[in-house]
Amino acid sequence: MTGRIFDIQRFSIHDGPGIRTTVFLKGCPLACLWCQNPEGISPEPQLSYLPEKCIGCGECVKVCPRGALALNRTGKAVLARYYCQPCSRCASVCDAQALELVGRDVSVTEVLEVVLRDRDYYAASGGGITLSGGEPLFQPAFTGALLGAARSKGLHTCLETSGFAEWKELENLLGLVDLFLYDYKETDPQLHERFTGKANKPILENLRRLHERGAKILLRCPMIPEHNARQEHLDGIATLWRELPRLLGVELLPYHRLGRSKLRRFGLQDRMPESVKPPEPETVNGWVKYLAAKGVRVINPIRA
Amino acid sequence: MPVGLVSRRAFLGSAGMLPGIMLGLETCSSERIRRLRRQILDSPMRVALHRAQVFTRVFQQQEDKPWVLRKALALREYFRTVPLYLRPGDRLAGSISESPGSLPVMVELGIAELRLVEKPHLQGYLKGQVPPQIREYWANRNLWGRYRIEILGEPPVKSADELPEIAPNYKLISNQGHLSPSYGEVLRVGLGGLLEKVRSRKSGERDPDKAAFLEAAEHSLRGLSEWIQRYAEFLSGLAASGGEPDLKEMARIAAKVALQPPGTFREALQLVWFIHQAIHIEGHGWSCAPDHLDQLLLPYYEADKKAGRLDDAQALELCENFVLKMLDNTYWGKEQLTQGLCAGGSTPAGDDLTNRLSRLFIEAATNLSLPEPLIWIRWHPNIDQEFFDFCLSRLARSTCFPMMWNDRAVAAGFMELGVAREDAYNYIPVGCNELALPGQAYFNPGAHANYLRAIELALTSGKGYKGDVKGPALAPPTSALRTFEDFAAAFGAYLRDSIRSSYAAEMKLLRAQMNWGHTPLTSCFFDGCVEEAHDMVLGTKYNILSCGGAFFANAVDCLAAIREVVYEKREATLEEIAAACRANFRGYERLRAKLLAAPKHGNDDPRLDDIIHLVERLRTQATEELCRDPRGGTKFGHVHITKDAAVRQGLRTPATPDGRLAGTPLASSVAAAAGCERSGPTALLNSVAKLNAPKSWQSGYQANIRFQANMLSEKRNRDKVRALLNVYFAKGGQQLQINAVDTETLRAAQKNPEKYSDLVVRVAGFSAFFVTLSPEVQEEIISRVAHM
Repeated sequence: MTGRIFDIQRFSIHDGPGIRTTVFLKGCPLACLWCQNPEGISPEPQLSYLPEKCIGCGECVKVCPRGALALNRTGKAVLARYYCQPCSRCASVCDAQALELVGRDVSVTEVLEVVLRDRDYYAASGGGITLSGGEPLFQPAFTGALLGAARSKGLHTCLETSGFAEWKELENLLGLVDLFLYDYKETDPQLHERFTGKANKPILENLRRLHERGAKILLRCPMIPEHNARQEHLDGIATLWRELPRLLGVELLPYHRLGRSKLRRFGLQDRMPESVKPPEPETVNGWVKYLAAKGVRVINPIRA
Repeated sequence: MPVGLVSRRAFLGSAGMLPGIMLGLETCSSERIRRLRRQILDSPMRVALHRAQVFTRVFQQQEDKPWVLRKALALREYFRTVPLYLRPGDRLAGSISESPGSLPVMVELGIAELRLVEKPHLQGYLKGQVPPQIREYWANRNLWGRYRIEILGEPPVKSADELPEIAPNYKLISNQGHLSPSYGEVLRVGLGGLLEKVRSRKSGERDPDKAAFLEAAEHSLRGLSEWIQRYAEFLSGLAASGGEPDLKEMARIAAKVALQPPGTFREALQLVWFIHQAIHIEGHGWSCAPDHLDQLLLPYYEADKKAGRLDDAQALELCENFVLKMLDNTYWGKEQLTQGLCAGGSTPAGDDLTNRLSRLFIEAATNLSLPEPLIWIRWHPNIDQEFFDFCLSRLARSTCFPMMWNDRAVAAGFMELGVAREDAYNYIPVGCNELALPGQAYFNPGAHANYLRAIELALTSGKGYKGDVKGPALAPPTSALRTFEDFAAAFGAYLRDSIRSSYAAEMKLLRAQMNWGHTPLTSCFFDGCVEEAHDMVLGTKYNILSCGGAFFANAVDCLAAIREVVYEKREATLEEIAAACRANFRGYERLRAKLLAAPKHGNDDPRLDDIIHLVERLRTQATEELCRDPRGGTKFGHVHITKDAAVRQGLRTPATPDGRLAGTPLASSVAAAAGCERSGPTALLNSVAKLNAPKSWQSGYQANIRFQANMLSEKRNRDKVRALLNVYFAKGGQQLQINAVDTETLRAAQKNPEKYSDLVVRVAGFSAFFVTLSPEVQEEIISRVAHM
């Protein structure tokens, strides 16, 4: 069984309890405006190019079958993405690792070998493996197989998901996931579609069903100024909290722009206006207090 | 890792979410301590001459006497005559010289400066300071002079001006240091008891050498006692002339501990301080650790508390005062001595020794936010996790203390060298990352393995990149190295040769130390020296010399790159790699990229496991075959020396086959080469834990990791760091030091040094105020990867 991933990150400490290794699966049905892992959206491998690492050897130019690469006057490779259909030829000859193909097909065994290198740390900290993305449910068979294999090694499992999937895909995983990190992005259906490209109806339905079936769920809410960071949405979160009493808690994920630097590598456009700034700590504290006052168990600490 | 990934965790650590800057804001327990701290930090560095004058005079007068006795007589005369002072607000008496902030010159050893690599602006501190008649008297007569003439066979110099201004080796301008005297006995019996022991041992001793040593020990102890007695008189004089009310109590304590054993915590602390200071005055200038104070002083602390004489606030203030005294110990200028203070640990049976005082010492030291002394704790499987958590929380504020050793890995290493289990578990760190046994074994380098030079020679048929090596080739020519095993064998042959030649040179220095490096006073605090009537330099309970070696991570990476590029992928020849290094990769950019892409140590890459063990084995085998301690033939330990070398040596080291450019920093710890750790802390620590500490690093290695301050200031993050460290040590990691500071803070400190004068960072084996470091060192620190 193989799946397509774009990274494995060890010592992940904010994606579930304890010290974890997070596996990032490639491909996502949503395309949130604020997405911080934009290379996770497309299911296809993507070419990453960092001109500052280019040493101008010209090897990539020689092997590109579509003439998408050329050396400019300063001796650096220039990539014309319009002509590029990512194969891995240029990346495989790029010794400087300026060109890299992101998104590789890996077996469950291969992933598990890396994950298990830190098993002592999981045991000591109550950690384990987290599947993230992209959207893990976009590759349901691989996700199931990887979670099953991790479980058989006694690892604690987390699934980070937008919940946008067929119910049966989620249902199949019920016995394999110790904790769902379930995204809740926007209460208003129209806005949800505008921000993420998809309706929130199936997401909410799946959430209710998971809850009904007794799954352990932590609700995770990205908070984006000028977008979903509004009182109505906070009220929506509070309502959901009341309706689903067995939710473990709510975690707010304030907007940040650390992912923007990656857009350029993949030739992607930033779809967030420049005017949207990461919220100040006081603003975040305000949200936390607002929800707490409504009885929501928010797990974010209050920060100075 | 294909791209710098931003996971959801970054949401939490994103801009604006970091807690307030944690730059060592001092939080002294009292205004008195705060003022004392400021005073010490603001003292200009000057040279004090009293010791130089007294030692010159006494050595001149006593030319017919054995060296050890001349040293003791001079020391005693110094103690009898040195002008005394007390800084306002200081509650512990005893200073290294006659005036605040001034450093003595150990003329009978050598007159030259220590090289101040990170603080070049302070270099030149000795220029014109020592009067010509003193310099001329000693030029051919002190340890350095006699070493040159009698051991190296050089002609005497005609004038002291011929001598270099910076000593080629600290052993030529100070005693060995790197030691921890044992204080249990003196606390029990007092200096009077020790004197009595020396006297009774001396009576009837017929052997002239032994008699001379015992006489020297007696003079030294008497001198020390007289010095303390003089302080008693000086302090009561100050008290009588209307000084602070506490001075009377200080005078009483000094008068008591001049000969009697202490009865209270404060008396014990004062006695320990006097001895610690006196050992520096005698000449041990580097890396002295005052035994396990939290263990030794606990009975006094508990008795005082029970009797209602002392509360924790007072104890904390006294501990802070003690730590400040260590900072004020200006043998080679402030922040230069790498004195250490160690807390916690386990018994040989594994029981936790952490106590209330362990915590108070850590609290005191980290309250003050100082680069000196170095603060250590000893981890073991039964460590009080609450204490461990407390220590980690202090890292967020102090940015680098405490540092940690693993009892199991260290004790196993000492036992490997023949040390008894109960002694091995009494180990203590001394200096940057070296290890010793209080009163039983001190650290002394006796050979050096030059990994990178050995790789260079293997690549160039023994000629060097510049072709300037004259010695015979010790391995087949490079063109004949057909397999990686051939190359490894050639590397091993040159490595062995570097150990052989450095061993020969170091043994000459050891002979100089054995002839003219006596310290009869310090010897009184080493087991068996009085009983057997010889100076510690002639042997202690365990004599453990060490083979040093630096930049292990670069060596591993070089070998891995050569194996992959030359022998596996066959993309280049050894000759091409040598040519590329010679050219600093100009014109070899593709080859450099290939070398850089090879596996790098620090990333938990199984492809490096055999290379790690290969380098360890080649070095360890050579040392075992070639090196023995001349004082009894014991085996050498091994140590990874880094100190200031990562940047300084980097500047002088040509490009290396791991793809590193000439002049750029080398690896500052055994964890990873500069800029090569890319897989996070678990991978980094797993990589370090692959080193075989008990077999190959008995005298200590150094592993660095950097965290953002909020990883340690926030409890839920800190719990994860604690779990991480518990696992690392359980896997056999020997040592770890953490730097907890954000890159933004360091950049801000570069821009506005005046605002960040208190920011302490860990450099390599030692710590320093960040803003006092040279720009290259600052950059190297910033370039180390910070984990979340």
